[in-house]
Amino acid sequence: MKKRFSALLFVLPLAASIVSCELAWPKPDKPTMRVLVVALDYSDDDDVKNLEGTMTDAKEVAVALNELAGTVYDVEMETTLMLQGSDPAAQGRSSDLYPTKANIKRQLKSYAENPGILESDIFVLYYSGHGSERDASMVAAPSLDGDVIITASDLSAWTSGIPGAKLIVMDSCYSGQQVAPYPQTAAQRDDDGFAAYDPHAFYLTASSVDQSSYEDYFDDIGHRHGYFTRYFLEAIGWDHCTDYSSTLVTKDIDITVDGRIPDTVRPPAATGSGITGGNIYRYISDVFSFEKGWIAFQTPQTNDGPLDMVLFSEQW
Amino acid sequence: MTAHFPDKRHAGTISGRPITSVHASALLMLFLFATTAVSSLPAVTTGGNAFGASFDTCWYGSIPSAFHDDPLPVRSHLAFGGTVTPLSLSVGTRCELSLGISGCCATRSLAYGTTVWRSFAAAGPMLDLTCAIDERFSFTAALHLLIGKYTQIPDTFPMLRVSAAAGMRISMPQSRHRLTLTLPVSVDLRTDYVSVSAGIGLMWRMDRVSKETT
Repeated sequence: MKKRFSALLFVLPLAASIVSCELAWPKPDKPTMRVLVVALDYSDDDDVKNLEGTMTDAKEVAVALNELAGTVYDVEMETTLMLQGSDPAAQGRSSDLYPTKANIKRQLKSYAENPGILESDIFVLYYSGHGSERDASMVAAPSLDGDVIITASDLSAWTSGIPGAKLIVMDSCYSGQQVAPYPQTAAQRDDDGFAAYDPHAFYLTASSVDQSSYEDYFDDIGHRHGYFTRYFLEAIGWDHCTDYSSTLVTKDIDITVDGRIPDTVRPPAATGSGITGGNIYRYISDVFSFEKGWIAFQTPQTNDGPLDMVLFSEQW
Repeated sequence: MTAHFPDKRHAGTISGRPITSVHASALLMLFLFATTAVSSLPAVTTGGNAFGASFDTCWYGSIPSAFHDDPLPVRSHLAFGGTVTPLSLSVGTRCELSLGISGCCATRSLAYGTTVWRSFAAAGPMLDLTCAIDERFSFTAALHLLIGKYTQIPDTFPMLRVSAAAGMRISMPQSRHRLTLTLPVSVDLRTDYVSVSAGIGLMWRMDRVSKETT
């Protein structure tokens, strides 16, 4: 009797696990990825300090993600760029993609209202520009109404309706304020302060809620980048070589940059089955901590809790 | 209303009812069951005290809470664990109470679609009661108070593990070294979700004095 009980103690949970596990459930559809890249150098805004690395950040991130999708992981990707600045690729003020607050809101809302976007899809928002400690996750391009501040609440509200998993990547000052806190306890789950938590939203931000983020000229690659974006690109396998150039063709603009994703080298952030947001965060944090010693000045952030997002996978 | 975003450094601070107060009655029932279930069995003295260690490997299932909105009812990991028990004391003629340190780690879960559950490690004090059913078989109930940390991110979390294991001795009966094959199952209680595990392990105990059977 006791031996049967002991055996049952083991068999029942094991049987339940086999029925419930990832191997038994129907495999989800392969996701379609949609990427929105927003970047400003503020060269046409006299009220804001110019940034010199944001255009390079944006173009290389857009191209790198597309190369990963197309040549490495065979995933369909649609990319839209909203660029404001002195770069020839930047949109003019009359364009619907000129990154004013209203245009950014309209573009994000279009994803939420697109019936073709499924729960199995992935949306990535990449932003390189200014942020402010006064609840300003993004500082948009000037517009007629003068409203350039996009708060963390604004951005959460505009992205919450987008189906599927969402990765918000921000290389800007005080960007940690965009990371919605994880409700660890039952009391927190009942607290309005944690109402912004979305289990399908994941974050990679360049700094904490009260830190600046920095950009610099990197001698080893020959151009400027935000510190965070430089190592974000490295984490996903981008090779800053001048021997190769890579081109991205979108509906609106075409961009060509020096560099490539080598298809023979595994990206540093890749593990057995692919690239996750948590692994990218870990790579950047380790570089900041152990190689550069920057971690006290600029501490990248990601979402708390047990959930991590699969950005690319060989198993889809 | 503008949502309040607390300083990221404090985003992991735990508040609310402690886990132990919620499940104290269940734990008491578990220990009472473990001791009364074997109270009528033939006596086998275990002599003085002992010390030991154990290791196990198991399937680990994280059960998402409703607010995680996970497509699966259980997320599967592989886990490894162990204990070091420097002190084991005889309780009655058939039972042994052990105090020690417990540790475990779980790999990240199998990926499903666009989500995966993070890997973590945890450690902390443990208390277990092992009772011999007969010369060969035993039953162990244990309580572990663990502090866990996801390997990717800096934040920590508290965890209460309640475990039970059936054991089959595979060493010689009169040897001071007791090697037992175990089939452990456990439930991990956190403030945000619950996990279960089942696996196989080995437990070693060494008696500090010779064992006598009456």
